[in-house]
Amino acid sequence: MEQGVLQLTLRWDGGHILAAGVASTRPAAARVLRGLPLAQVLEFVPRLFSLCRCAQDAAARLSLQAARGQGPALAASAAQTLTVALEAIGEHLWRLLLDWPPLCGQPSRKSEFLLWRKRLQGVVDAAAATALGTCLLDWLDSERPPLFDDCTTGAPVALLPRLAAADWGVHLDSDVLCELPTFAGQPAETGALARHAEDAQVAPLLAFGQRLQARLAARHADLRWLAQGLVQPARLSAWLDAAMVAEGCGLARVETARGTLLHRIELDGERVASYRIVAPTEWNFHPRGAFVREITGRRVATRAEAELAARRLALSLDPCVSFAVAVDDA
Amino acid sequence: MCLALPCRIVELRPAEQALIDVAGVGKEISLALVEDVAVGDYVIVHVGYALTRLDPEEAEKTLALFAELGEAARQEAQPGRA
Repeated sequence: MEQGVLQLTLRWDGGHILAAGVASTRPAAARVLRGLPLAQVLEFVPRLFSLCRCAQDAAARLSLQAARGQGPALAASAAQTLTVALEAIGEHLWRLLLDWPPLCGQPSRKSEFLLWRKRLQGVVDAAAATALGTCLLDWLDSERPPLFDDCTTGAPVALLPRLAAADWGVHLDSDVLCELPTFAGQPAETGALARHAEDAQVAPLLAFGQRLQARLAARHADLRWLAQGLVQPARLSAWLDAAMVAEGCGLARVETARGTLLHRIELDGERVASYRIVAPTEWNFHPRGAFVREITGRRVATRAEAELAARRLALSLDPCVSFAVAVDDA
Repeated sequence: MCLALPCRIVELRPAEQALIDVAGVGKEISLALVEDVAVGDYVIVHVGYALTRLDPEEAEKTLALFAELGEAARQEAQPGRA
């Protein structure tokens, strides 16, 4: 079994990107959890995932608790919520400091990232979290998202609504949805933009069709929200929850830097009858999703420009695996 | 989803780089995010960076798990399976 790659292919006629395709070689890990004893699930899940390890672990634990009927609407523990929030902050900083600068013609800010990573790893209690949150808020005051003069043509995909775990039950009723998720039959975008579309710094950009710029502004807003959450932990309770959605069936919703992560577990005694995971990348890189919709029809004069546009758009949608871009002649 | 596949360090290179073995194929990665890595250690890699160092026992357990899951996925993919 390998990690998998997202292959993004553009068809370019010398002036416009006519079409785009997304192919994924990522294995559907959740399927192989089926039939396992429950104790093994909690051991396996954090071992399987790298970047979003804490979020996956929290989602597995919460969905299992919910399936066992341990409370009708479960809240995560303060410690669990803190580790998930710190993980999301680390992911945002990775993108902002390591990945975006090279796509804007600037050097990567590796030493700054290393410093933040050390600080994040050093958070051992609530007091340290408060100190880090304050420090992050100060830093964000002097940071601005990179500027792009982007403009989407055509109608963008809808933003994924923010539902509680209990309300996700009816939307997660088949295995197909895990790999090709839709909401009300349509692809949707998840991530910082879906969480902060109404923010004062984000809404005007969306209204003018500057979708990529709006995503970057939303990422900053998300980071600020998380930093405030470190200072006032009660705010973070909105970040994750779980509910029993049917007899012996639990569903957990955990927000991550990349968007909403859903786990749904169905029990058969002390074993897993079915396990479904819907990860953010599946929404944003759906074959009719935000990436394909927004890159298609884009006017680009050169092959290099087509590739750069695809890289920037893909990064703004934040896939959780490596991606490769290929430009084919139409 | 980002699977945490352990990769073995085959060679240390200048400028905090290292060569890893991914299913028999060599790949150069950065060691900037991890400390005290030696040849033979296992690391979890994401987009060209080693994220965490695993102790060998932990790595073996995870590799065995991935092998098991890979086998289960192959069986699932076989047509005609009940």
